Amino acid sequence: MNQVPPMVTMTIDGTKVAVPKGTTVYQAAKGAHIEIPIFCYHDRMPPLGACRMCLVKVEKMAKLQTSCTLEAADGMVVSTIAPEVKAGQEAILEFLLINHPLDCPICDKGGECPLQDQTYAFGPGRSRFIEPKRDFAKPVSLGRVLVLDRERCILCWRCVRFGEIIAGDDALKGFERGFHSEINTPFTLPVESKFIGNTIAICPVGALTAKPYRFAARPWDNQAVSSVCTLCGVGCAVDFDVRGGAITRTRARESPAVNDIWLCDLGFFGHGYVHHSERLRRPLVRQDGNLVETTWDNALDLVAHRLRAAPPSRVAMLGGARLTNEDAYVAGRFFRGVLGTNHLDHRIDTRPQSASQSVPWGMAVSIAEIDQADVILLVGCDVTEEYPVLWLRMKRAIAHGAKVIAVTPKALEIHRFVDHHLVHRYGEGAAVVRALTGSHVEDSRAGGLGGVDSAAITAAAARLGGATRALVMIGRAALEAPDGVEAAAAVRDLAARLSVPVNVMRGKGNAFGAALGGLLPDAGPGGRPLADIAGDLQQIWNRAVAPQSGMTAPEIVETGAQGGLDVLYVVAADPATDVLDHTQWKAARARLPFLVVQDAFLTQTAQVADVVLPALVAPEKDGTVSSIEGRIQRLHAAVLGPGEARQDWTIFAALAERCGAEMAYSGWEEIFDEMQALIPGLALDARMNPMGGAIGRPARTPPPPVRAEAPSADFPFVLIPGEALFARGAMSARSAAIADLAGEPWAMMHPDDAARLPVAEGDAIVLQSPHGAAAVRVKVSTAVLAGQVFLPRGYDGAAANALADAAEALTRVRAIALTPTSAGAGSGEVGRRTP
Amino acid sequence: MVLSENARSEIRRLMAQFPQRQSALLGALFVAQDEVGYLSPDALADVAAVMDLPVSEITSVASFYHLYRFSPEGRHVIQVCTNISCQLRGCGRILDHLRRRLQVDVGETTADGAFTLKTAECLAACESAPVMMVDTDRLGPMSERDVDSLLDQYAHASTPSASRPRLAPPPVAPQTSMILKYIHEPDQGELEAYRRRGGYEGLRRALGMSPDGVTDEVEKSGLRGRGGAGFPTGRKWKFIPKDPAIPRYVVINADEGEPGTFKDRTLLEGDPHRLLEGIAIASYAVGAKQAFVYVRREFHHARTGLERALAQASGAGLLGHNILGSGYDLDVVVATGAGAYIAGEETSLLESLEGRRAMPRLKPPYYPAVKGLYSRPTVLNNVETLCHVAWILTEGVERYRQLGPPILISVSGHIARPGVYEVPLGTTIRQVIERAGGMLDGRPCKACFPGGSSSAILPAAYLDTQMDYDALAKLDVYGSMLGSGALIVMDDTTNMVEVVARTVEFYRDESCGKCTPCREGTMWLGQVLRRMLAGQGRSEDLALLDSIARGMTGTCFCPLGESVPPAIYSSLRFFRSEFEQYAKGAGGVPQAVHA
Repeated sequence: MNQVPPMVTMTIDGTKVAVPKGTTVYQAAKGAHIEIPIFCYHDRMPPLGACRMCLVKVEKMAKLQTSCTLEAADGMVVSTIAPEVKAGQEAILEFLLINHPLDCPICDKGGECPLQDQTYAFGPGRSRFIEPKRDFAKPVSLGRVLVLDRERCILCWRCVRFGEIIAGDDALKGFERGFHSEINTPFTLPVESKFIGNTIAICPVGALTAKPYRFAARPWDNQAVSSVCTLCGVGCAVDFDVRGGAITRTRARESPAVNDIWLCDLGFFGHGYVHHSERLRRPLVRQDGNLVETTWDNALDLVAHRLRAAPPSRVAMLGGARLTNEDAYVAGRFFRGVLGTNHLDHRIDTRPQSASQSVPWGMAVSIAEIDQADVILLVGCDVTEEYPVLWLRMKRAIAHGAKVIAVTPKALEIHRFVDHHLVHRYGEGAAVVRALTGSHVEDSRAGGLGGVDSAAITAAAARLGGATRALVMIGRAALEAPDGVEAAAAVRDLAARLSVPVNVMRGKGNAFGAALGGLLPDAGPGGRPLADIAGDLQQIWNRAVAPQSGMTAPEIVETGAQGGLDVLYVVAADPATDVLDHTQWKAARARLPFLVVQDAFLTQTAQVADVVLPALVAPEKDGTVSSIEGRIQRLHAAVLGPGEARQDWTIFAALAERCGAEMAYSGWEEIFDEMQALIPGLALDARMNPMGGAIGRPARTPPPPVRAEAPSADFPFVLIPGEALFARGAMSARSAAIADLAGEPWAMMHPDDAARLPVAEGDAIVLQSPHGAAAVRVKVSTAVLAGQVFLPRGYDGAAANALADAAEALTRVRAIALTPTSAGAGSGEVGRRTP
Repeated sequence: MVLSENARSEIRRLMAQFPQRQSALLGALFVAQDEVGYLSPDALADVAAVMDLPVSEITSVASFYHLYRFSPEGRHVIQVCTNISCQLRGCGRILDHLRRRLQVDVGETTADGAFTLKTAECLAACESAPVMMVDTDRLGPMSERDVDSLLDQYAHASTPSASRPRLAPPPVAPQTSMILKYIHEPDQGELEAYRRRGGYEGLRRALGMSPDGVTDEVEKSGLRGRGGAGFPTGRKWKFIPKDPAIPRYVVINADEGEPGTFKDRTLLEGDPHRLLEGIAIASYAVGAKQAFVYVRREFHHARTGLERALAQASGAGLLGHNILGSGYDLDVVVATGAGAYIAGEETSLLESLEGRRAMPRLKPPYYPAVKGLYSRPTVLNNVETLCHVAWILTEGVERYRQLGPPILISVSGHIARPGVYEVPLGTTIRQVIERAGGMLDGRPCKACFPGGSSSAILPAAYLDTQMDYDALAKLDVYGSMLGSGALIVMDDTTNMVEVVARTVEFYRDESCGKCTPCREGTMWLGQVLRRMLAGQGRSEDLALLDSIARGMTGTCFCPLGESVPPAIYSSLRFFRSEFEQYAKGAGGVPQAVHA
């Protein structure tokens, strides 16, 4: 079936070159190691032909030709070195330089600047330009991370085309025209993008530079350490540039199967937390109500003592998504094999009995396969907020003609590319998905199914019916919704009809690796059910492992709140902000005799711990991590950790010793070897299948019927908890650039609701539920339906879990305006009955 | 929300006219600008919301075009054309007078908010030079006294400017002609009159033929495109794929802007039905169901007349559904430009018609006949070209060849009777000048642009050259061409360095900025020439001018940048001594030669 394109043979500078038909002369020359200078051409985008730098002479053609736009043809004779070519290139470079400030000594691009390099290699020796140069105010700040210098810009349009072709965010644009042309944002406002770091990377001059990297280093000062970004689940390949023991910047490392050559801005600018002054340096123990520094020996002795003293059934562990695969495995071995408890769960942000616990997390298809989809169905998956770089893959599929259907409670940022956007009332998405299968579903309420226009559903269903290579994704907003179990089942049925697997877009950081390592209540390493793996574990760990499933994360918190635990050990997680119900968490903490937190910062959870153990973070670790597609990738330690902070697995090894068990490893490789013995197929760069405690099986017990809270006049809004890429959590709040991009906590409501309060964009409101409150700024948008309020998780300052009740499927809130606008003189409150 | 519901629904109406909604953007931005007074950030946000386009995109597009404004302006906007034909006829005096009277400089608004003074590029009304526009009214030829009386009228006007008295442009020279036969008839724009004079008979005849038959007839006529490139029209139509399943479009380039050219505007204003008839014939021949007329924004009068004619023709079953009972349907849409000479370049026009910045597309793959409007096969024809088509189908190809073939020449500059003249192809430059009454005040001819400012400047020694595609192209002068048939003549008082500087500045200001040599080269040339004119010339400047032009020759992305070197080369060759004077610095600057 593979069609080999016909070859054409041409001559470049006297060398015969054979290339597949369709190749440009520039690419053909490059393949033959003949360098042609370029500026505007970038091999991830179609040729533009704007800079005119890549001129060549072609026999039988009157004019010089731009080699980046010219298709190679049989018998073509090309010269890249003829005198006319040299003259043309010199002319173009001279044109480019007349208005360039030549301020290389103070330019961050110096040393890695194509304009500098090309001028050296191809440019004229001196300038004949004596007129005044074009004058722009500089530098211009375009938001928190981007600095624009229009005088340096040579108008290659790469950044503009990146926004149009690659990211689809149209973040940077060309304004004015002719010699007044400039790259900018409208009215020089802060740039709105999740991918702007890429434009800095592809800028061939110092026109776009990164504020966080401004004057931080010269390229030759940096030592690049190849690693993997762990800030979301995509697993993008990165290089950390290190100077003087500190990360100066993060760059994308080419990885064709994952991120190609791109990153998101969380990846580019999210490393700030690593060197934050609040990193924990020494262990802390609670004395007289305060956490005070102590030695590792003291802290470990104390923790080991409490763990030994507690019956295994009253010991539980939460967390793990920020660990390496090896850390997670050793943690699992410690709790299961040494302490004898199965109460382990990394899925701390799930609702009790939610669908998240009955489906294996991760992608069933590879990231690279996204490009080939012809219809993409997103159910409750906010891809740019949760797995941003995957969007760039989808954008590529869209360029090839793919259509997108989104079933979400909030319109996606990428709505312009969504062909069928079915924005529904929160908790009613399952019915919409069912309707997509063509099943007849009773309209329970007015306004169409879930608030979605029925014609739109019909059109989407027809589109789906015509799919031959569908890509189906279900995400957190569907799985954690009150109808999540039904939504998961509906998506599973739909995917089965399309003969494609379901991709469960769930889990941040190394959540996949936590499951792989065995941090699940009912599965050991590799997601193998306890009963299946017990024998192998016995052999390797030399300990018997109880086959009964342990408690899930919500059950652990609930049990803690009922006084059923003696020790809770929290690793690389912040349940105080992440568990569904903060009130319940507080009750658990109050009843817990002993809480251990192992983390890099004094998180909200750590602040109330009895012992806090300082741990390393990903850029300080050697080992492996797993991505949302199950790819096993290598982390290289780029920098040393602060103070006495330790890598997590070494802490468990030290505790094991104090608990009388031998669990010593020489390094991550030895752990990985041991994991390979237990996990079939585990290898570097291999892709593992998604794994979970109950793969493909329904939840162990049917979920309790959703308590159907009638809409109440006191609490008229349904709360949609959701995701934001830039937030202010334990780590992001300590990466200055990310915290600033995130801004203050916010919530989104429909214009009609905002008008009724009345509040305007940016006003402060308090969201109140019967259980708690959160103060946020309002964003007014039709992205949510009236009567619904979207509140992103991830802001420690306005934790969504303060409002929720674990016993209720839906959270209802009211909104109180703190700064009534001039638009109305009312009480500024919706939901209070007025007498 | 700053836009009224009326404005929003008008924008939605515009969107519905086009297969892709962004095509309505230029028109939508004018709706917003007219309502708010300028394109404020709020107005842009509203347009973006109605059209579901990114604000960044529409702001970027708006900033490309000259006729959008981003801050409030006076109640009346005065635009004075300063291009070559008007320069030769003393626009500098008019502008100076306006500056003095209004006490503002160009780009400023009077203290009372009544007037904003601006300059404009060629308004395609060179027969009325020096010409200016007040709001949507075109006025000329202007004298200082005319300016005084106009300012008084506008300053005290409480009525809309449309009712202000209009200075009548000088009439087109009378003649027996083919294309221009009825151009002077005041009722020629009315359907009834047009039909009485044989109008739409060409369309009726075409509909009785096979589409290929129509194309063959046009090809046999020898008609070549009158937009400037001179490509054979029939052959262009034959590039359109035969497969009727592939949608195709006809696009009419009514964006006349080549300095010195005003024949298309003359036809649009005087004989709109002839254009519509030509559009219908061309569309039928290539099987298009939709045609778009891209009309230069400055042509307010022409657009109004064209829209009126379109409504009349549609009402009479000559356009629209089932034309003349033939079963053939054609929807004609009038689209607007927004102030950009580059939009006259065919691929830039298509970008503009798709609601984007008018930047040229890469050929290949974007040959209009293959991947034109919305990436569909598209025929682009000029206004005059389609008027010829209507005549050919009406009167027959033999008569066309026998009597002509005719060509419209726009004659301007130092000429006694500037205007549009219809002459047989091959008439010499000298004969055309004689037809137009000879040189102004009987002075000797020093030089001319035979084909608009994009062509080389020819000295008087070449006046016996035929105005013909091949004769002009074959001259030993780089860049000599017939182009759009715009003959700008200059007498012996003309300062050639000044003319070249003004020419270069036109291309500099109209360059889209996409490619390096055009963007930077035009700026650099302009700087060098202005420095020389200011008495700061250096001996090496002549070589520098030549070298900059060489750096632009054959390296630009599209014809706009390539239009600059001809004027540089030819003026350095034929009028070198004038440059040498300026190269001497302050000592070489001659006294002003113009009154």
